[in-house]
Amino acid sequence: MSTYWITVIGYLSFLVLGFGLWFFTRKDRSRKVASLHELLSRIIRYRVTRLAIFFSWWWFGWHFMVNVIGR
Amino acid sequence: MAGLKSNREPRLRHVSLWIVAFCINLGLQVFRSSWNDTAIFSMFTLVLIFASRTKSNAAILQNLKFKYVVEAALVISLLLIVLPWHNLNFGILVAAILILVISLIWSREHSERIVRDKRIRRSELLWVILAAALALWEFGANILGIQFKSLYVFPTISVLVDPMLDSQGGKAIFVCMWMAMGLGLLRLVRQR
Repeated sequence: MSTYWITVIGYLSFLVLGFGLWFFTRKDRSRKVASLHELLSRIIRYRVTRLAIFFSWWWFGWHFMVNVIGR
Repeated sequence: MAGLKSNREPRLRHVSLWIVAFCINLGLQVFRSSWNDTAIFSMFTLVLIFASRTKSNAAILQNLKFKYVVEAALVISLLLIVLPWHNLNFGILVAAILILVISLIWSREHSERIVRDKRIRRSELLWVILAAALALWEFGANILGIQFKSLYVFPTISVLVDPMLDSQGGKAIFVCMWMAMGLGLLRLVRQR
């Protein structure tokens, strides 16, 4: 298997793990782990955290829509 | 009310972690010689430091009804889909979105603070591990890509996603997902 596919499978694994973590903890399904919604609702109360989360979101859009990505 | 504490500001160590994370990201932008992103992350870091220190609580658009925010988001999304990307005017439009968003979220008012119980801590830990592992994987791909002088031996997320945004359909899907994510986060801010 080429390094290209190993790298891609790595990204896909993170995607699947993230989806699994969201799915199995959503809407109080888990007694041990808070859902992503609960977590975000809590941390977004703090201004620095709120700004950091929105900066990350905005930069993601900027990166693909405005930056020219070499390929 | 059960499960709630007083309106205390978070301790400095919680605030500093975000600033540290942005400083690390700033270092990575310097490392990959992306000077536009270096300028952006420098600005982000400075704003975070300022936000953690200031008591200013200007609530410019805080009371704007959410339905107007959604309507504005729909108009902006349409513009983002229709207009050509990767040029100065488009950059100004996306920068204006950032200013609008900061105006909407700057206010420092807290309602109640939910206790950081074990469920929240476990969730924090799992999401942080996942995010950090993904960041390391991407960083590793970036370094190896530089070493091998090829973007496709160890591709980064940008190299994989960017070709999907060449078509109008790809652009529309990306803009809708990005805007929906932003609106979802804004709704959470409004619920606090």
